[in-house]
Amino acid sequence: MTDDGENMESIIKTIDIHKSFPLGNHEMLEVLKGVDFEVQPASLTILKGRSGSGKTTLLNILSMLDDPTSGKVIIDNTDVGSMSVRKRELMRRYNVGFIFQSVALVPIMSAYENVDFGLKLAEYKGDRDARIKEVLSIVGLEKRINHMPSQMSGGEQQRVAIARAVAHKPKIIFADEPTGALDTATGLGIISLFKKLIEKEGITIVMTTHDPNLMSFGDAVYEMEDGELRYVPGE
Amino acid sequence: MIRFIKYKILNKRWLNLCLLTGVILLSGFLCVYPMFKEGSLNRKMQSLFHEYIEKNKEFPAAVWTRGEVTGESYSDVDSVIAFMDELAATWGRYLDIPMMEKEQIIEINAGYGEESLTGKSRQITLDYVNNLKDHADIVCGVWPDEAGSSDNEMVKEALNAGALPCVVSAATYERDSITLGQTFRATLNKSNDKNEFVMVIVGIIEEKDDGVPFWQKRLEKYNRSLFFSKDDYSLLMKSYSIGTMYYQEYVTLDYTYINYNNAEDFYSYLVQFQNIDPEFGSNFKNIISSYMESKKTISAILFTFEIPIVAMLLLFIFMISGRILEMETNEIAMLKSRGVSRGKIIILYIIQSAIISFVGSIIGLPLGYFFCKLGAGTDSFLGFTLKDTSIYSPNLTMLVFAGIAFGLSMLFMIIPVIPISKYTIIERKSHKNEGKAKPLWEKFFLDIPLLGLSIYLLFNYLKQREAISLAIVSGGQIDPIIFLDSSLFILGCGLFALRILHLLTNLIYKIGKKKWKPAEYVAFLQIIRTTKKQGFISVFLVMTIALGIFNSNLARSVNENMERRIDYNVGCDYILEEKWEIILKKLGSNGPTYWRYKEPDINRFEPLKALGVESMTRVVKDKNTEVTVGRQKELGCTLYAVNTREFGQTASLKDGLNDKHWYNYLNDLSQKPNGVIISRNLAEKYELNVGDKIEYGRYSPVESNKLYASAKPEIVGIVDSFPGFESKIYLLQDDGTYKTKDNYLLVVNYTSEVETFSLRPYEIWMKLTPNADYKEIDAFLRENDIKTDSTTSRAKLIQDQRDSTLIQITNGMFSIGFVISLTVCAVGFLIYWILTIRERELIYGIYRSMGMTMGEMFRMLALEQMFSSLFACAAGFGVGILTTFLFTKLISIVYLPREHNIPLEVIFKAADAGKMVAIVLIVFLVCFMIIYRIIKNMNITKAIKLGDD
Repeated sequence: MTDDGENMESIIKTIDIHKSFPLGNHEMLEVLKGVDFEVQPASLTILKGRSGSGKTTLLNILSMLDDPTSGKVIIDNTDVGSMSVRKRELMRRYNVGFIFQSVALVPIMSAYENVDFGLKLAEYKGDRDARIKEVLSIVGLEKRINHMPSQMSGGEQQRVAIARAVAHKPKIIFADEPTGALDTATGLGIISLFKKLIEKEGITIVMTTHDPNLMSFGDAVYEMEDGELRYVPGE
Repeated sequence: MIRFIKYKILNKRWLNLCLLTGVILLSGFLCVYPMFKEGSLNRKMQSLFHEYIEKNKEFPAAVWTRGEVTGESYSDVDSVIAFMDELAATWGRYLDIPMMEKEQIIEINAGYGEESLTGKSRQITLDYVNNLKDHADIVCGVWPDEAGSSDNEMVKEALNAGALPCVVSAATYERDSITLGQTFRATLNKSNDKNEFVMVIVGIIEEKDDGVPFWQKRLEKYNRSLFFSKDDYSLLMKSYSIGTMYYQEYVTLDYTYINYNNAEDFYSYLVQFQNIDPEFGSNFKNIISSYMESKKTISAILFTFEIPIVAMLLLFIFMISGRILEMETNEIAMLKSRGVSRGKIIILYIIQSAIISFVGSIIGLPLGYFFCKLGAGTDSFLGFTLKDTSIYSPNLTMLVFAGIAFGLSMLFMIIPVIPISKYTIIERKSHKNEGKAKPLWEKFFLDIPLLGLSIYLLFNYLKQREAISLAIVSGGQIDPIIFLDSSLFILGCGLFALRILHLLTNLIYKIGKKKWKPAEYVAFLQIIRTTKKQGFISVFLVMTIALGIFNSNLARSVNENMERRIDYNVGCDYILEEKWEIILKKLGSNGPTYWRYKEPDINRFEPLKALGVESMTRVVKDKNTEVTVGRQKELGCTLYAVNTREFGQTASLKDGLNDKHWYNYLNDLSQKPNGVIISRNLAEKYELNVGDKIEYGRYSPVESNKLYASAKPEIVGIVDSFPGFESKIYLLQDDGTYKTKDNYLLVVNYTSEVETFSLRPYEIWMKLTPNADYKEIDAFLRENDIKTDSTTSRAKLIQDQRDSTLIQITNGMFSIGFVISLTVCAVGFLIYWILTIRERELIYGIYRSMGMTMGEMFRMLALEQMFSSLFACAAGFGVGILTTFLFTKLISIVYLPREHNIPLEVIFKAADAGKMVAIVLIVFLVCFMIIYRIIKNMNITKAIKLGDD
């Protein structure tokens, strides 16, 4: 459900997600305590919260990188829990894009090749070269396509990661603290870029952040606190 | 700081354990050098002494001198003996070798003594030999000091008349037909009539056969000597007061005491003694001299064998140390950024490497001892045995070599620190893409000059091959560069192969760049973009495998060719040449001398069948046969007279040396009693063909220049090779060098030969059953008192060759090197890959998060391993085999310098390569299993989290 109350079919839906981690001594730490949550297509959903509040754990579960201890994740009307490992791999490959806080570019590949690698994985059917140049141009790196990650600044690297994440036109992008390592201006630039991509490519973006300056850009903002997710209206 | 270092070492315990393994192996292998060298040289020294004993039938370490004393200064035996003892003590102060025996002789030249029986005069000397009774036996008669108890009437009569009793040697007794009781009358001092003495022979003596090395001057050489008792001799000396007496002193020393540590000092003393006293002599100066020549060669070759393995181990240490540093780069940069000076960082690593190097070097010492014993116990390549290796013992120089290992390993651990310690965290980030750069050797094309130089040297050596062979046959030094050149080639060719491999990988990548699937795409980029990083493992693999393959093939080729040549040269399992008695008869004073050999009973050898003699045959062999073709004569040809059937059953010849199987030639000969098989070189020189006739003659055994008979057989076969026949022989020239000469062969029927040339000594050739032991035949001959001119055992010759210093060093060092190569190859490869995977966990996490399947991950890793390691291994095999074919024949000259009917053949034993392939495959398999476990158990979110951290 969106903040204006309009009903749309959600692209991501979670039902009573619980996640616990063993602490040793047979004790468990419950990080997620029954999360119910929906994401509308072509929107920017922001998950905010303090460090250790469980937002990355939730993002990992949403993006099928991790399994919940209990509960259901439904993506694009499919229950992820019922999918085989192979199917989940393919789902991530074709329909999902990732942006990590650690940037996570492949260090041996140039900006061009990093994006190309994403396209190859997703078996992109169109003109790959044109698409690479296009997305790198969207992120403002058209002049740095042959630069290696080590030759670029943190912000530039993050923009390459974004270009790689969006290049194959996934349905959803999961971004974990994409602006965490960046200064405010660069961070804002990245969020504007997200907005532009949502508008232009119709992508759904779910991102985590603890930067209060970015909240106003989200179509929906949720706050994670002590393993529980709370919708934050008006942000 | 120490706590920090301890933490650092323990934090990367597996890598540091690897590093420690490298240092232990380096120290161990370096420590082999001094111990192996000393042991090998001691062995060489002992073998030279034993050769001397066998050849000269005398004890090999004796010094002697001679001189004059006058009766004025020395009035009795004891004073002269004391003087000689003093002389011996003077040498002894320098030649600090335990003395075994002293043969001291005092001699008075009595001029001509008149024999009582014939009235003739013959030259005599009056001798005293110390401890004569202890070292000689009375054959008949009595000792001079027991003359009173003689029952010989003539002796009694002479003694009663005042004659002095004396004994003579059995040789003098036989030669001069002396009888007991015979007297000699001699005047010692012509100016004084009172000095006329009469001496009576009271006994005949011969050397005591007690194994005591007393008789350096053999008793048979005292051919004019009359030996007296000490008291009588003192009496003679007193009467001879103003005359000159001669003394001779032979001191027998314990040769086993002469070794690597003292030989050169002893040599220098011997030279100095000889310069001071021209009468001073020794029989072992030449032995030490030839030992010193061998020492240079042995030291150089051992050193040459050490270099490639040491280089490989240093490369291993450098590689592992580099890996550790790569993982600690950020740590170093962080320390640098926080204000720790570069010097302090380097000191930190110096202390760390010193600890590892010290521990490794110390542990390497006992390992070196073990390696040396292992190498010394080899009988062939990788043929480890439990034979006696007590001559190889640890020495203090090993500590020096452990110290060298310590220094070298420290240096190779520190080198990579120097560039890394330069950067702060910021500078470090800007240098991160340096992995893309090419390795230095590739960038500066170092492989090309290395390869060029090694090929140039190879061709130069091949051009001089004949000269090198002759120089080695003549006892010249071996040029160690011959060995080093092969290592240089392996390095140059290995690097060149890697360059080609890199180019090929690039080409393959570029060809399919647009079409590669993600797994291939990532794998190719990984290989191409991390050449510098991965270069080391590739160079390491190429070098290790190539060296292992080449060394194993070289050792196999040398051993196998050597054994084949011995097989050929002997021609059967055992050859016995018995002493034959010749009976001479001269007709008139100017008439011809008739001779006849008395054939020993061959049936005495029947019991040998029970000892494993399968068959035996008579073979007449004469290396001084004259061949006449038309008007031309060929001297010094080799004649064989054989019973064809028996010979075929007893002798052996490798297949493929003649146009057809050698039995065919024997069959042709058996069909024609008056036939002859000749060698191809003879046929070619005189354009002879089957069906032609040649004439040959043999020289008389008593008149060496006279042909006593000749025959004119018809040629029934022309052979290239025949058991025991070498078509090239080496002749010693006046300048001490050798030259080659063609040797020609004639093989005739034994019966025809005896009919024409009468019965002459023959050799008995034997074929033994596989389990028979030649030592039992030797024992049989000894037990049955069968006198032989020579015995030759194929098995003994092969064993002697295997035990020869050079072969022992080669087999030992190559076997140890091969084992070390396999170990470091396996450890290096495994460590490299496991660390690489661990290091790339974040990247693999990203790949997995992006949807790369497990199958794709393995394809990517397999492709990467294939191009960077498996192809490097294949290149190593290729380079090893190429080096084998290019260098084996050249290097084999060092071991087998003589031109031979058995051409040098490169032996490639698939089992050795198989061992390496098996090790590589096992390591690959283990590696893959570990990688599989790591990736399968990889938690993607954790891996990515790792990246965040």
